[in-house]
Amino acid sequence: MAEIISIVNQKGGVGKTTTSHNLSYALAEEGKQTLLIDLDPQMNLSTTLGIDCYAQKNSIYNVLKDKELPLGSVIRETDHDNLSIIPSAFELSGAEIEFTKRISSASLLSRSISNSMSDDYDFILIDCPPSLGILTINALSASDYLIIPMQPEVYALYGIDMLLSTIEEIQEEINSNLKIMGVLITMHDGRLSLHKEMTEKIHGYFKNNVFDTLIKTNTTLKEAQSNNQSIFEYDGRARGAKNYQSLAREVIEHVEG
Amino acid sequence: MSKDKKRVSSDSEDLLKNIGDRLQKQRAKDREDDEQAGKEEEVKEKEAAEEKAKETEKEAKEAPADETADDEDIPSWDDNREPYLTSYTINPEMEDIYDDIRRTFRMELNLTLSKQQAIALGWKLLNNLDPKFFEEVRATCSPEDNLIEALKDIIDEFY
Repeated sequence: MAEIISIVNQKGGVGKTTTSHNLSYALAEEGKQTLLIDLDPQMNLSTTLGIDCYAQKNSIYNVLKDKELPLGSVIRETDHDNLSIIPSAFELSGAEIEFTKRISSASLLSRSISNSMSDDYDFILIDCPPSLGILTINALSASDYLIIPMQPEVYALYGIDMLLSTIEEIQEEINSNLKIMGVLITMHDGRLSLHKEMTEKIHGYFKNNVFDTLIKTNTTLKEAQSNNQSIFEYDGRARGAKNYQSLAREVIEHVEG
Repeated sequence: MSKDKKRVSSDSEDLLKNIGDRLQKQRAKDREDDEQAGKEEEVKEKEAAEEKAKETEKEAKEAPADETADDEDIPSWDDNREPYLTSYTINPEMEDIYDDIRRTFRMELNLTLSKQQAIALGWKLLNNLDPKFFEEVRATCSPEDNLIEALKDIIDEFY
């Protein structure tokens, strides 16, 4: 049975897509059958994986809209072993208005993840959009776990505070199985005193709710993105690759106990 | 920049603490849920084991019981469990009140019968209101007439 993990934070530019991409790749490298779901209408993850989202006959949008259409029908293989993706679609940008009119609009995604599909994968990772709208709520409703990427900066805290309220509400109303796997500190720059101090305090206050792995700021990560590659494909020896490999092992350890 | 300069304000620190507390609460809740799930699993396993033990005991008893039937002066309700075992499946409406019945029987019978016997007896009585079973109970399990009366009351209440 697949463990479904949402990478979520309503703040933009905190490393959700980079984390989804590289973590999924690292999990696949560890031999885990992994499926990525790109729920972000910006389509960055899908584009990075070489998919022309405008050329799709059916997409995740159609699946959410039409309950007869199976989610399995929009899965695409990637060039990498053990890694598949359900690409985003530009129509998702209208989802907030369109889907919120429907009863049970919060459970459209969880309904479409069938048991048989869940059996085919070890991990399903969902890249969430930078908002707390209906798409993110769908992701949270379908997930077992959450990973919250955040920069070690003060503004990030306000977002986390708000996100926790949404999570608590989802746990109360829709998905009582939802668990926070951990906060992931991203874009950490060891040269900045603020980052050092914030990281210390985050570890001090959040205790075991924060991953030991730090994703350090790394030019190679950005270069890999520019080349539509994961950090492992672009430069497997880079610090970013080691960081994501370490994160993948922490994730596996967490779910396998 | 001074080395003593405070980079994280007290407001931010309060917010960090608040988030940390909420995350800890989440973790504690997860732990509780896991423990609860573990307990439920344990109970299920225990029930399955008891069921299996009961079946094994029944199978073991069936063979010698046939051979020694003539020698038995006192009937034992343990030898005759079939009705309550099958009734669990053929009387689904019983499941609704099963927990109540089980609790009451345990309460009434725990001084003289084991828990398992009480449950088994309860089911048997609910499905076999023939007085001979009460006599059987009286002869094999309890010398107290009052207890038999209490059982009858319980049956009247639930059946």
